[in-house]
Amino acid sequence: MKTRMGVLLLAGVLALAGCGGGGHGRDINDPSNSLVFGYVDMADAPTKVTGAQIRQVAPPTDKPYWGTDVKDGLFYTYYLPPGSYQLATLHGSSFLRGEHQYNLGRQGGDTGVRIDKPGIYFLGAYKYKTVKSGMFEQSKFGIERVPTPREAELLQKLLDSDAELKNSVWADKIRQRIARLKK
Amino acid sequence: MRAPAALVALLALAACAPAPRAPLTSLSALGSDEVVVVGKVELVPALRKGEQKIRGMVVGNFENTVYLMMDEKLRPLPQDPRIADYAGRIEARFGSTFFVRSKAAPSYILGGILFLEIGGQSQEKIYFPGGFQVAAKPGDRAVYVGTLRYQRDEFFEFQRITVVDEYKEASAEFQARFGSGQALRKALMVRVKQ
Repeated sequence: MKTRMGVLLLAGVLALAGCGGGGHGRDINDPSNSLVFGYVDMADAPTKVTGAQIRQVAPPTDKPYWGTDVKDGLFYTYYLPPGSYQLATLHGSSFLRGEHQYNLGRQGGDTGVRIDKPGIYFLGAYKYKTVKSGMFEQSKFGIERVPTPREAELLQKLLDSDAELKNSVWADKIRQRIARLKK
Repeated sequence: MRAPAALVALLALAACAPAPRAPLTSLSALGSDEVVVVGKVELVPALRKGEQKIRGMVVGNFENTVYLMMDEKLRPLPQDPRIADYAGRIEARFGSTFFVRSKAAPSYILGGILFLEIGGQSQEKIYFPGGFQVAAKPGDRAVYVGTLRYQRDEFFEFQRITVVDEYKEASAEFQARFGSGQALRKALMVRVKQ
């Protein structure tokens, strides 16, 4: 199983600009939008995940980071225009362990997606893995692809938990997608 | 707290890193057991404007430059190279011919490292596959090893790696730099099974 490696940063205060499902001023019903979502199990991580950012790697842009909404490990945004994207960072904090930023590297397409036409794109389900690092090395971590939860389950959860989404053009598209996945 | 480790590592690299292979301007500066290695690295497509972010006070040549990590023995390049691994690296500016002083003996390109982002809390490195033999040999004074062309996608995954023979152009540059009449032996890099 391929593990995508990253660097874990611990800081008192982190700049979390771009967190939350901000869509760079785009409308939720914009027909060129795509819904991109994924899941990460942070059971073995120092914190839960409260924020995630997706990096636009093509076409070139001055504002490559797209915030996502996060619910119990499920992260998603429904504002992405056609292009190529990859999961960039996860954020989390806990009272005892402080603020953490989990940076995934720029290299590699295994948490990436190429959007040629608007639609629903699943980045996959992952599990956080601790990676041993030396005393003077940056703290590292990995995320490993896992088979569950499945795409249909996550889409249903999305539909059940996001009122804005439920009242948008996405509701029908998601239901259709779930139906196709369950065939 | 280990957050500044990226910065510490980079400072250590800048301050303590062993020297790269020195660029050469005159063949008379070569020792009897030395050779000038001539070659080039290309990235296709090239780095876009703003794709590499070098911020703050940084010592070293990072811009549009890949560090070719070299060794006399073929070995895998560690995921997090130690400072010692940078010894004798070739600092190859993409698209420019390099002329570096080396030992007149076979050596290997273990891999390449491009610092895509420096500054802030972390650094971002891109790893280039290696495993190429540079077939210099005793008695050589100048060896042309070819253009190492890396074709990448938008995720920095390498789709194709080729060694391209641009001897004619490189030889012209070589003659302009070191004078006509100097021999440049062609010995294109070969990928070796590890």
